Amino acid sequence: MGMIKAGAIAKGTYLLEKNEPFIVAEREFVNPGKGSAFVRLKLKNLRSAAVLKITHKSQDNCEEIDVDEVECQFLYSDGTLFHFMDTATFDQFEVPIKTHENARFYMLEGETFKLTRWNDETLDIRLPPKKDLLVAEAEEAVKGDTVTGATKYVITETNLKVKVPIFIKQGEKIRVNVESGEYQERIND
Amino acid sequence: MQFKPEAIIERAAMYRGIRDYFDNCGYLEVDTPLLTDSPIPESHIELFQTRKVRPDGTSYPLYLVPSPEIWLKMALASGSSSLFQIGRCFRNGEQMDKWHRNEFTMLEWYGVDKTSGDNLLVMQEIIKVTLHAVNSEAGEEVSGNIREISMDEAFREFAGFSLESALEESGLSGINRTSPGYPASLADITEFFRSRLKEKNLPSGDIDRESADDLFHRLFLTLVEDALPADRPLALTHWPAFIPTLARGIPDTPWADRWELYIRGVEVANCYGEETGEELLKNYWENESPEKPDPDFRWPQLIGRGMPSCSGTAVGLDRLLALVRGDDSLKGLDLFPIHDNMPR
Repeated sequence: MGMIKAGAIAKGTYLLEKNEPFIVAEREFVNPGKGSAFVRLKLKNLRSAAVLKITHKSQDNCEEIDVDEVECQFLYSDGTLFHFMDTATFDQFEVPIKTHENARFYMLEGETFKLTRWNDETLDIRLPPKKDLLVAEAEEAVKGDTVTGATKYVITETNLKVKVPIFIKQGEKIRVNVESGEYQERIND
Repeated sequence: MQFKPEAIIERAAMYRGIRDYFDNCGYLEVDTPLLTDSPIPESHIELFQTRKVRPDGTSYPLYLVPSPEIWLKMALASGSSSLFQIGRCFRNGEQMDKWHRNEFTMLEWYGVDKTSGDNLLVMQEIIKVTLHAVNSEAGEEVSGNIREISMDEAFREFAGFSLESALEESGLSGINRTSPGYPASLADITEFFRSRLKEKNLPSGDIDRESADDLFHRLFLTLVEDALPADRPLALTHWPAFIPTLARGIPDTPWADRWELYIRGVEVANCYGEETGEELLKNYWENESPEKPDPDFRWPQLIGRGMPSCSGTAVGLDRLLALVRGDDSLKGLDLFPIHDNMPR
């Protein structure tokens, strides 16, 4: 456990506040008219996913969590838990889905991810910024519908519902922005 | 190149509009030094320092001004009429992020015989001028009439207690920074803020050793500022007088004659009914000076002996432009900005 000055905290820093692990989602520097410099933080609780907004003076000491980065293979999901295997030690362990809801749309069985671990707890599943996914279900484009910019919804192999241009067909691969869940482009392998 | 070409053109139109407005109102535009050997002492502002080298190779420190305040007040004390300046200001130590730059452009004006209320009307006009200079449609949150909320109202609404009662009960009505034992008289309010922070279980640093104004800002920034309504521009008025500033105290109240303007939740301007008493100015200099380099104690005398009754306002023009344009940061508004992480 290391100490860090609040002024040095960046987006993505892992912090311990009131004995709960958090990741910094947003950091804003505030300098009130006539006062010390402060840092306003939006933190995501890595156990409950609850959001906490706090303000620290830039000089405050905060507890930074010394995390481990572990490379793991995603084995499968049973609906409540993700099952992973540490690729170095072959140890298997579980991660509750509810704390990492978003991850289920971007992990395919057998793929490898970097996990942020602290003691025996998985704090974060590091997803790539973009992910290529197969379209599992798509409505047929309506004949004659040539309006540019027309969109429809498709379902990917991971069960993610994505708004895409009308020309995307079932079985095609699309690139999705992981943070926003938005379609980016069609991938022609 | 990262800048937004249309914003560069809009900035020029904004400056023209502001100059025309003040010219029509009879304000004099002045241009004052960016380099000084005796900066205004403000304990919370970090300065950029450089060195003046004499022909014989010896040198002495000079500083880039954090605002033109001291010069404009000197001009007023020397008999100038109402005046304004659009100029660059420099603040070290701040992190560069969405709304902060180490170098930025400030509009500062002083209206002789004007009050902070008069200056709020001028502020509304400056927003209008900027709206006119910008080619995008702005909503009520920018173009609406400025809403006034006092600090006490804001605390009652968002922090759940009356700041006025707390300040009064702590003996801070009509406090005077020249009174003997002035800092000691903050013991009660310091304890009050500390217990509010503890009661609300706000994550905090070493609050047992912090000053009243740091504790106040912790409460204000955590509970109040973020919650202020942003559907129209907002002037937060009547700030606690115990915070050391050059705003005059409002007699028989714990408040200073000061407002801060927020647009879309971002602080854009601040205004004082100006303190003009020589003793009070001297006291401010002495309180703010200990950690500051080279304070010049002739200033309070020079300013205090001739400063007319007036109100001054400072506006961050980069922020105003960005907010009126509907931007979410200052990015792209400056030609050739430096960045903290620029490769060397």
